[in-house]
Amino acid sequence: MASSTGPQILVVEDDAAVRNLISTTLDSCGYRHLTATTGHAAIATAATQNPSVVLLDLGLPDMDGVDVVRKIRTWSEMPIIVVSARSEDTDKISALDAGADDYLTKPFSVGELLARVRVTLRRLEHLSDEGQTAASFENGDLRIDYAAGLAFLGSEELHLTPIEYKLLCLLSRNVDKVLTHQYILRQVWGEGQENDLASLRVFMGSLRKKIEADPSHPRYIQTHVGIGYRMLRV
Amino acid sequence: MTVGNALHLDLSSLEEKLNLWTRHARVSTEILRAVGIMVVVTAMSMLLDNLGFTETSIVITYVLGVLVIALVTSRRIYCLVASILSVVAFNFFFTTPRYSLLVWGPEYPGTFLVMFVVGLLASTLAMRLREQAEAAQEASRRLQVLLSTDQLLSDCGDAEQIVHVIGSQLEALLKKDVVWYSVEGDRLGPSRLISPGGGSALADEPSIARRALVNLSPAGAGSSSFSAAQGFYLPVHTPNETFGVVGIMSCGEALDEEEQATCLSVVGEAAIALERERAIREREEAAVLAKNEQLRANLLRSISHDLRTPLTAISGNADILLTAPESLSEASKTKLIADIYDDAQWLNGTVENLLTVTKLEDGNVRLTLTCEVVDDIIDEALRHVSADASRHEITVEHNDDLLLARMDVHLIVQVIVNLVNNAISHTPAGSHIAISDRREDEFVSISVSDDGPGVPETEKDRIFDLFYTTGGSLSDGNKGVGLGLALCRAVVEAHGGIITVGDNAPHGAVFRFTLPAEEVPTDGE
Repeated sequence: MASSTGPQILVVEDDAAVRNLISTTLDSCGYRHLTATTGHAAIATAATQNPSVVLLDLGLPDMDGVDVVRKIRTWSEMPIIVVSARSEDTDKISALDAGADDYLTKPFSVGELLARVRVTLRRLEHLSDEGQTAASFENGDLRIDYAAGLAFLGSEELHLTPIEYKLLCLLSRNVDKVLTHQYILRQVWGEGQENDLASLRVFMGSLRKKIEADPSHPRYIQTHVGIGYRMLRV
Repeated sequence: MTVGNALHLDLSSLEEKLNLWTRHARVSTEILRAVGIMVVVTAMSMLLDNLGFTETSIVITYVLGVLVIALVTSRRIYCLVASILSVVAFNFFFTTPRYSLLVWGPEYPGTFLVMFVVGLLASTLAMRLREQAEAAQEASRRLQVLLSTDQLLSDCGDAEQIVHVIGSQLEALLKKDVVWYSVEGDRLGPSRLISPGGGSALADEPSIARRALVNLSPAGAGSSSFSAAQGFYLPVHTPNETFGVVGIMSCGEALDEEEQATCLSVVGEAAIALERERAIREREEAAVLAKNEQLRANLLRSISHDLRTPLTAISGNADILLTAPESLSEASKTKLIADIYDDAQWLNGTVENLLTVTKLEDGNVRLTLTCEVVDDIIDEALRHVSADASRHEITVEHNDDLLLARMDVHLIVQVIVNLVNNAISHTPAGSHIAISDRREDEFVSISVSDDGPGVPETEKDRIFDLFYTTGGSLSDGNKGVGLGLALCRAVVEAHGGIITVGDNAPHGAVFRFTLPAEEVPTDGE
């Protein structure tokens, strides 16, 4: 979205000090931002101001953050980054399954915050450039021809099993978005297979071996421990 | 009529026939014995007669014969018949005229009468004596069993053993199979055999057992309710609670009063033993709870104390920066701010450890186990390692094969973080820290090794103890609470693994822990 005023970020956080931290950080990078301190205010502001990205704290005083995600998703696909404490995975997973795109773990560093915001804005750019039903996908050396059902790394064709291909396509159609384990299992293996994490691990491992130059330091597919996986745009 | 029923009928008629046959057999044996003894006595008397003995000896011999018959047969009728027979035999064989039932002497009727009366009385007394002796022996045996019950019960370690003692003692006493219905609240559990015997004659009568339970009194064969039942049911209870219902499979041979009284006695003893065992168990559980409370209180005290140091530094530094910034050089300001940051990071790490402690409290570990790739976990842990890490060389040896293990993700990440932080704070800057993983049979083992000074032999045992900290450390300000390694051990052991410390060559420490491996699914697509 080539806008002269730049993207606007909605910061939903009830704690004043953290809000101040985030605002200052965003200012330092030249991002415009709005703030809201409650879930209801967040929904209202999102509806009226139409921000580009929403930074949503899950521990809001008036309503469950996951409900805020659901509400916003009823009319908009705007990217949502949820913020939550480190030991609690369940609320992050619920938020992601409800439609959030990424998450931040408290306490986060300034670097992490900016990195997440950058990735999300980049995703926005690409979303508007190409539709979701593009016939092909390109990311660094990786190229997928959806129509032909083929994938390439550089000039060489990748020999992927059907499940590996499905996995790759799912990740590529959601590039820069964190997909939860359950979501991936449901999409690739079907309903009722949500408990077969071991299989997912194995296939992800074999996929990585095929597309990553150094499988122990993956460039394309990022592991989010306890949450899921994400394909990054390199 | 189903096959089962037909079979059952056949079997029971067979049993009846068998019983009848045994009875007939017994009766015939005893008649044979009686007749045999009579014959022997007659033969002996003939011998005596030939030898010139008087009639008196022969009379006495016949009386002796009748006595012996009393001792080897089981019914009074034999004594009576024997007495009569002895008189008749004496008359026939030994009174003149021989070999006839006529008598020629006037004293013979008197002799006959006396002989008969003496024979009858003596044999009746002998039989009664024998019966009493047998009864006394039986009573003594029962008493022995009762006395040994007490001893056996006091040797029992748990409720299950007590129940089996009930079964074996009742079987020894009554020679019948015994079943047990456990009781939970007011619900009856399924019946199971508790006597050591074969258990061939078992019947399941839960409704009768329930009646015994509800009324807290015996029910079934031999009692006033459901007397046609196969079994005799006794509730095992104390005034405060009921532990179960015992069922004695009398199968037609109902227990008499004395046997019932014995049962009540055994069951009463067992009930007391069960009550005692329950009280002991509750006391032990309470003691464990109290110990945990104590541990938690100590933990909180220690942590609160240790949190004050970094908090003092943070507030102090911030205070100076706020009130007198102009008095500081840029370098000093940066140092103060950096110190605030470091202290905050340290606090963060401690808070994570504290949260881990809450997951492990009360002995009920709440683990959320998922299948994870070990390499991924190690990478994640390194992202959370303390900021001092930049002064150390940390390397990870990734595995070629996909290593999967079952674990609670955040707890194991915390274990690795603690081990690496521990290595960092106990080794000088520039030291090497290496993390590796490998498969060992059904386990995956993860090692964190360093080339610092290592752990002295004397400390290797205590290093995982709670609140244990080494006196000196190489990096500045090791504000360890002594929580990290103790937590590592608690978490690893909760997963069913073990954690050990060893020496690295040429110097340094190797911390190694194991986790149960997850099988790599080999099914194709």
